[in-house]
Amino acid sequence: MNNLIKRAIKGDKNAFIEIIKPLEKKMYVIAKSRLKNEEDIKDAIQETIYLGYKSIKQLRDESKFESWIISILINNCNKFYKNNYNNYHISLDDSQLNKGDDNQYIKIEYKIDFFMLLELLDNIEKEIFTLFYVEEFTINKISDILNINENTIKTKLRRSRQKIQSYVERWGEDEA
Amino acid sequence: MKLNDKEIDELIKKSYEDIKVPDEIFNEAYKNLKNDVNKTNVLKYICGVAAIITAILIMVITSIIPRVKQNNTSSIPVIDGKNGEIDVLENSNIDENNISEEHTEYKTYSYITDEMRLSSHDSKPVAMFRHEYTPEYMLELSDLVALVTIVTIDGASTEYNSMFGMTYGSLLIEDIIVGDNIEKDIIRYIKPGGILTMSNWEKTQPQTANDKRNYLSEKSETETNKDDTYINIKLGNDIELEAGKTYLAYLNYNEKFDKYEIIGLGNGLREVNVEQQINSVKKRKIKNNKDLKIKNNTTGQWESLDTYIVENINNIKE
Repeated sequence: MNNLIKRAIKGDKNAFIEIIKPLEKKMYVIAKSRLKNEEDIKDAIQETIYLGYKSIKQLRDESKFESWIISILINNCNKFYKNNYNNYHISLDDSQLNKGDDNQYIKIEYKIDFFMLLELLDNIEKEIFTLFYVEEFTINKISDILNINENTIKTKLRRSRQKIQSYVERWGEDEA
Repeated sequence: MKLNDKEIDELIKKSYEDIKVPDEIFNEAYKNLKNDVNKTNVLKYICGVAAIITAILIMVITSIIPRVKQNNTSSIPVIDGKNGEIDVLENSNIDENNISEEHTEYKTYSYITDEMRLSSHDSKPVAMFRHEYTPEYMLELSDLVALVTIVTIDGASTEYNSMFGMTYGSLLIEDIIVGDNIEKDIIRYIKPGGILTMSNWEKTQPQTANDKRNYLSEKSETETNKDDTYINIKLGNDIELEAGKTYLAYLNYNEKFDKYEIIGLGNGLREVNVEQQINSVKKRKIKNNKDLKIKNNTTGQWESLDTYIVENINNIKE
């Protein structure tokens, strides 16, 4: 990894791309947890990759590349962020499917969707949830990043789990 | 169904693992990086400026092109999709004895504003078509396969399909590849999916689905004005129509609505590499043009229309 970063600093675009590839899912999830639609997500990610490459020389500690590029991504997401973000989930009733011999449509069955779970949470809970489950940071690290007391972090995580529990109990019998 | 903390954690981790990252997001970013292209905001600005300049030039040029007269009037009727009324283009310079179809112009219109497109929420489809839209299957379903230019995109409604909604409007038939000749050049179409308001959408949805959505909305403490919130329903590999663009389209006549349905999603609607007509559309002589290409909506590559017709239409019909 360090070798790739060194090459990227010297201007090797392919090396930079190789550094980004293992982070694609994380970057996508972080962007999607903040942004409304795929167009905004695409724009934020593209801008991050471009700016990241252009400013990689400013990276002082190569071991911090991941958190550095994620912070660029979050800043870019904040440019697009609108308050009323919702990921609309459209359900289908069996009665809506065409009946008869030439049944055109088949229902897609969904498992619990990660982004739907995020929608259950308020903004702080969402932030903590993402850092804990996506970034896999410890409670201690999250406390440092957000400057929030560790006990508060634990309480927020517990509350998030309770909200998910309520959702699964109420809606999730055939989805979980 | 009661889950303990450990089970909740496993559920969350499993839902995270199930996430699939769309390839095109990063592939396009890498491509732009290699080509040293900056983010789309700059490109959008440049395209926007270019589009405005092009539109002005076209307006200037078309204002000096002779227009067709009909029945001793100075005008020929055209469709104005905005309110269904006849829109009239005046021209006094064309010899009435030489009126031809090529001179008929149709005013373009789209109900979709940039604001609607940018602010609309993407939907997650919950049903898919049972059959794959192969060329054979599409040919079987179609009454017409034609090169068409979209004249108007008038709106989207759940009136035609309560599951997905349908976009509706009018299109110009440039050239029929399969099917009988039809009298009119302009026909009305419908197409699955589209951009509509949340309130219109919810009118045809099951109450349990609306309740679930409201529950999620309450929990995330967001307020939504459903008359001002748009939802963009896109199915599979389908593409968004653009007024003034020309496409290869598979069309199935829907008797109930007296409209032609564009079928096949991204397989049945493929952009042709001819210039987009901006303010108005007129028929062009593009038949038998061997240079015509159609866009593959999966790969983004342009492919020969001639080859497509031979391999996917002529060979199947034989």
